[in-house]
Amino acid sequence: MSVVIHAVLISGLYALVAAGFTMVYSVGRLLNLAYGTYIMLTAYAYWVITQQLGLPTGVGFIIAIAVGIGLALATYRGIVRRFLHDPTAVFVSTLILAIVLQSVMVLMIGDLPRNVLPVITGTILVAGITVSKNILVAMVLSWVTIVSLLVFVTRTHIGRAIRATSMDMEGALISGVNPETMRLITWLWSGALAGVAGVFFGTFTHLTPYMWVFPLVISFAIVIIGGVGSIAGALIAAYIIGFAETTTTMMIDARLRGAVAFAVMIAIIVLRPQGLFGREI
Amino acid sequence: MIRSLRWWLIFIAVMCTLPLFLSSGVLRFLAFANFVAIWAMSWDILSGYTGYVSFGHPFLIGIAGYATAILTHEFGFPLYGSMVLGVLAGVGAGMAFFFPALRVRGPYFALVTLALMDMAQRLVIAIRPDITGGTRGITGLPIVVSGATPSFYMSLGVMFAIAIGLWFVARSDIGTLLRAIHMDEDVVRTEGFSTLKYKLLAFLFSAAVASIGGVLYTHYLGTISPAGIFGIDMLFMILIAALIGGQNSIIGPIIGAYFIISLLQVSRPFLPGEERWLLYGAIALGVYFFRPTGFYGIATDIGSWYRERRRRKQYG
Repeated sequence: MSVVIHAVLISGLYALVAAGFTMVYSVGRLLNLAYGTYIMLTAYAYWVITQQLGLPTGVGFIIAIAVGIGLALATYRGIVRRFLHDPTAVFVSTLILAIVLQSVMVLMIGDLPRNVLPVITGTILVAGITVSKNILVAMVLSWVTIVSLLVFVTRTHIGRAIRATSMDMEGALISGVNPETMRLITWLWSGALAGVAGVFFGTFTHLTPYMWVFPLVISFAIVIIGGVGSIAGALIAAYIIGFAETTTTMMIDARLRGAVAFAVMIAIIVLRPQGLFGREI
Repeated sequence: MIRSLRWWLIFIAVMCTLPLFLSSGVLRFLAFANFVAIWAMSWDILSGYTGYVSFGHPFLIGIAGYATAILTHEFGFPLYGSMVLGVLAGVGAGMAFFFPALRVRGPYFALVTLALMDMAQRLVIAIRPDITGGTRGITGLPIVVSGATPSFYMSLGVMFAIAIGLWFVARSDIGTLLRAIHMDEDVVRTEGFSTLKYKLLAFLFSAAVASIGGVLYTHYLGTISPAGIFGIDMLFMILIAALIGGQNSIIGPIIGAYFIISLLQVSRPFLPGEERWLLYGAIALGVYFFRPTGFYGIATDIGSWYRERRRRKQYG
């Protein structure tokens, strides 16, 4: 039972982490490898605001989201926009950016691991198991985020225009959609979601400038397993990974974290490259 | 063929005379540059040519290095035998883990390889630390050649052997096909070529070269540690050497490797630590923005501009 509850909670966290990545990769079809560093930097921003400056958590949240948005828009405007025709160049240059951001953080803050206090303290009993309220909030938030993302992308005019741009640029142009605006909106959302995810992710691990690889790998695995282009698929994939991982880490060895997500991803790539719910690549 | 080989010969001759003028400290870092050049070329023949970007070359290097380190240290294998087995282990591990992702198009390959590298670093520390030495790694391994000058010549010789080998491969029909895969894989398939076969071939070349470099590097240093070989710094060095030097050229990565290792050495007094990655990242992004073909591309552009000017002068 405790496995199930922990799995459900950790899956929610993963879904939250992957949401922003899904936005740019699944909807905008651009692979942003600097996404992991947004998580890292927003977590640091929250830590600095709330624990170094002692400001309230609300301010920390707003600053974290602002940092995420700023980073995402700067990445898009500064780097990605030049390489829109060349997907390889996008992910090579964003990886270089990720490493540059990592070294900036090492220089500014150092690589000592830091602990972020939970956003909401206290525990609650769920089916006889004590669970921290913090992760519960993260899970609820992940549901809210994913569902609102789904509604935004499929039901609103802007969301449909964004999808149209990624499907058929010329068709979208003819219909009066400005692709540049659509991409900006996509990246803005991605940055904001990274901000929310960064705060919660930060409270569950140690902050180091090198922590960005794990959220990146998890996000990518989630998109691959769920299927590129499917937001609901991403949510289901997050639960598949969460359950697989919690079972192995609790039953076999805690250090296998991450390896499981990876193994599932490899299996999916080999057996079903378009993912569980994705369109044909 | 001979005309273009001429430049190789001049380059080799110059490099061979270097130990006469340089101190052993400088030779040591040039030997390291040779290793980086080997890995960057290995990256180039796969990723630069076919466009299947690998972020996991440290994985291949590390598996080969760890295999030979464990075989010699724990099981007392003879040095050369275990080096061969190490290369086989690197290629085998690459085949088992990288190859599935090569079948699928898009950025999957890059991410799978990146994940593998990260995983390898953590698993080496976690699983059987009594054999792998955990975080500290293994020290006191047998050394291929000792002394700065012999090490330099050893690394230089291997580097040139690999460079010329890969250069011939790249100039052959195989190289042309790999470039074509980069441009449009569907067209290559429509022409009746098995792109999977050629990607596999490029991968085998790449993995073998990376593993040879890894095995020699391990027995050049005499130590191996997870942070030193699977780290993201290693990946970054290889990637930047290939990108700054010019991918898709075999020669470019050598230029890039020498450039960044020299810069590393020159800047060490001023930039002792993490700052240098900032500097390299900035340079790499700058060069990549300005000309994605790198220094080699810039050099060939200048060369063709010069020849064009001379031709114009001659014929008025």
